Amino acid sequence: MKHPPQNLHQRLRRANHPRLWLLAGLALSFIPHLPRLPLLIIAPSVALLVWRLAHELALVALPGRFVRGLLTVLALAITFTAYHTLFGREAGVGLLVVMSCLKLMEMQQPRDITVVVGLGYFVVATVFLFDQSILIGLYMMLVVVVLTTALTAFNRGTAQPPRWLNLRQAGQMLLQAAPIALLLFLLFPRIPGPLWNLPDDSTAAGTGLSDSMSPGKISQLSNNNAVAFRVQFDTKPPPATLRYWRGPVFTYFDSKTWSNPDHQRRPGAPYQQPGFRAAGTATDYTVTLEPHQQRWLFALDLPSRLPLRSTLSREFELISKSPVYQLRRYDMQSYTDYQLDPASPPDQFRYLQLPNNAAPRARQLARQWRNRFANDADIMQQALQYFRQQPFYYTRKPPLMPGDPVDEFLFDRQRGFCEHYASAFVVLMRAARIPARVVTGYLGGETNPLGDYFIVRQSDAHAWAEVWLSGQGWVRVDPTAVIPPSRVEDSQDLQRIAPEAALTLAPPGWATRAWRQLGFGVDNMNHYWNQWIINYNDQQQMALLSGLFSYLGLKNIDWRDMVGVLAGGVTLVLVALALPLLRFRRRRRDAITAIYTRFCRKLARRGLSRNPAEGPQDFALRAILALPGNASAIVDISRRYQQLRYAPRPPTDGLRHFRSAVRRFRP
Amino acid sequence: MTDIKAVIDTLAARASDVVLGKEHEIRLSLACLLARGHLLIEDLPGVGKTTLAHVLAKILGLEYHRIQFTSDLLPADILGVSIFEKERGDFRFLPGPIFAQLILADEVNRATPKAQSALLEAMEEGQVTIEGETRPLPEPFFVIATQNPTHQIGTFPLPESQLDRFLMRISLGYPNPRAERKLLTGQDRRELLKDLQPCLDSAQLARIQTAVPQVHVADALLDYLQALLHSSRQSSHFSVGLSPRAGLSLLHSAQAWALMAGRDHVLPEDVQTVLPHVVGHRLRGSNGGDEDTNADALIAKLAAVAIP
Repeated sequence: MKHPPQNLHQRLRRANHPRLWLLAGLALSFIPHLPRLPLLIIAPSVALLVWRLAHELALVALPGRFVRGLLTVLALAITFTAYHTLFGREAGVGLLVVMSCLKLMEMQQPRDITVVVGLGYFVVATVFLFDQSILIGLYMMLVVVVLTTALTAFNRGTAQPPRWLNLRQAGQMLLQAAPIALLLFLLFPRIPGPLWNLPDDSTAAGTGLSDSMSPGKISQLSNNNAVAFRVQFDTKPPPATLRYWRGPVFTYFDSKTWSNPDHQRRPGAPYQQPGFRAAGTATDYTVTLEPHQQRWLFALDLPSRLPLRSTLSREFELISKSPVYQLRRYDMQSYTDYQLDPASPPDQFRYLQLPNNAAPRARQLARQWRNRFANDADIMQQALQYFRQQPFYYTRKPPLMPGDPVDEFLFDRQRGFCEHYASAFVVLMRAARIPARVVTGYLGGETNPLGDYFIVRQSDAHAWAEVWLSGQGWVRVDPTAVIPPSRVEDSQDLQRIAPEAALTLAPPGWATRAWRQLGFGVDNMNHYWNQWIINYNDQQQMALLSGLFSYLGLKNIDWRDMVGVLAGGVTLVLVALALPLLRFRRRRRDAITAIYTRFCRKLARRGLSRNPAEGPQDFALRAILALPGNASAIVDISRRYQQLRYAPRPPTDGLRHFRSAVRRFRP
Repeated sequence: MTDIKAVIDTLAARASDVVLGKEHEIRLSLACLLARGHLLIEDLPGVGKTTLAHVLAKILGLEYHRIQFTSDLLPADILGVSIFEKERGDFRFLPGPIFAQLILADEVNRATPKAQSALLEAMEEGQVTIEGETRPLPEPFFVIATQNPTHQIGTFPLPESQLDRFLMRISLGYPNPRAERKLLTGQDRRELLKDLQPCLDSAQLARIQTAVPQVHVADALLDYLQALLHSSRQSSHFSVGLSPRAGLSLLHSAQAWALMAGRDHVLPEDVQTVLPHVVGHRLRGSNGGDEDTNADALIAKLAAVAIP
């Protein structure tokens, strides 16, 4: 057989359009996964997609059974090489992507096509395991439209529909499904807590504060603008200098890294809670925490309420019972004016621990201070004085300190980020026999003027110290706060640690302000998306439904009512969607028919009802036989009706005469 | 219009003088011929099928041939043959009985399918091809075929595709007692036939035929027609729905019927009148069963479709 020479355009026109839609949908569904997928998965998947596309353009043949089997084994091997497992979220998605592409190699029967479309939908769903932002949501909707178009096109069979008809119908179908989806979203009974526990993924790198602190660990977050959490205050927000968001606390130092032995323990039996004396007024707020794969929850120093499914550690950390894999929202209450554990002297062993060989020069200095001052508070002040007077610089790019980091920082380089200050300060305090610990968390956060909430970013990560002073308990000391503004290198940091001084800086230009305004707008949208869509949970559902039910005068709803409301709602939507379809069948009743129907009704009252299949002439005959007295009127009306409805040129004022004739008709 | 009605009424009256008590069937036959359709008359032997065909040919003033279909009839017996003439040293074509304006194909289902198809092809094409030469058939060209009920012995039932080529199928049935008495006491039908004079010439007939498609069909009526077709295709009672050709046949027949009633537009009643005769031989029930009763039931189903 001879093929006429074809260019690519002709081949595209000849190709099977449903399959092209399907290939496009599948490829689009992979795109959000691309940054997560290793090249080892991407390369073969793209190759298989291209293979299939070339086959659709009649350029190459599909592989035979043997090659397909070989490719399958190869795909499994590749996935295993890339992830060292075939299970879990990451490896599962990798396997799904490469296997979907492999399925294209044997896609011939309608059954295979349906399977591939199903796989496409599944890939779409897996994207939400990683990212649930509004943009991804919109994008995935687009992908679903493309996949549904492919499905519509396949089911149309061989008929060539007009252009874009499949797309339009797919869009129409999805729009019709939208109210049902909304009802299911709002009303489907939700299980408290996450629906399933995602397996702990070793490959998933958490962003944010980790469970240890070593030099450089927090400063590497300083350029990360990702949102850590958002806060909505119900009461007046505390001043900027008090906005310390407490996170993991570290007690154990190994001369380089700070950690906390408690963090290795499973949560469960909590230690006896430390004594806590609050003063002043409470601050109420709601935190919406972005997933960070760790267990800490953040709260304003010092939390006075425990969120659901969490415990409080002896260092007053809020620890969630399970790692935060999904957006988490919790109501909190804190007292910024407090006394922590003033009565009982703390565990000496735990809070005075120092490795023997660490920081000899710092110990030396601390011993001098100890000999000079009797009072712990004076020693503390002396240490802060040291930071203030010596030429310490606050910088995001601290120099490498390969030797003893504390000594090198304190005496040689004197340049560092908050973790250097906090670490050195706690080492100094412990060397002077004052119980101390490192606290990490976030400081500050910016207000979103558009949404009336605070955004705390990863770049707001901070570390500070807590020192136990008799009579006062644990006191927060932030050694970075004593650095004079002139020695703070970055204006953003200045804003954070010395807001008053930052006011003297030149105001930003209009472009910067506009950019920031746009950023606030986008963040505001994300905030509401998180609050109402992502984090719509069992409690919010209950609140919504109780509101609805109390409006109807009902109380005490349970899941059975919810299912009832759901079933009723879905039925209503289906009926609403079906009605126009049914009405379409029924003829629209124009004026002539309406008047004739009135005539028939008048006769029906005399026991003469028209059979729907009875023509006007036959009916008139029957009527005349039954009511000979009205014969002339019946003939006249029927004739007029026939003229209007069936004759070629109905008389100009025929309708008016017809109407009045029927009105005058008295059988 | 009214003069057409007068002409038709005269025709019907003349025919009724010979075929007694069958005025409705006569009018249906006339409607069929006016709509340029072929007619199939199906009934038992002896109820006057052939007579009716004869009468129609006579009163319409058409040149007609009768072909008696038998099981040994060959296509050449219908179409004609070429024979060698010694004097001229050439072949000469002897036209068969098909070359006439009106063909009476008597007992068409007694012939073999081969002979049947020779006739039926001529019906569809309006021309015949014999020995590689295409010869046109006269204008107008009608076929009135009669057939015995298919369950009788020695019949080859016409396949559905060929039945579809007949615009209408009518059956005569027994005459009513009064007509039968008149028949028994009256003159011999053959004599009457002989005396029957044409009431129409071919020009008049052509004029009436061209008037048929001009009868107005309103949108409302097309809605009804489509409702009928739709019902036949959707309903589970029918194994096959009505074809678009059936729809056209229904429309043309109804137009002819309206014209014969002296109207310039079609009414639903016109459609309902011709409906059983136009669709009766085209419908198949989904449950099998006896053909005749089945057809009646099916037509009743269609007749019950509401007029929109």
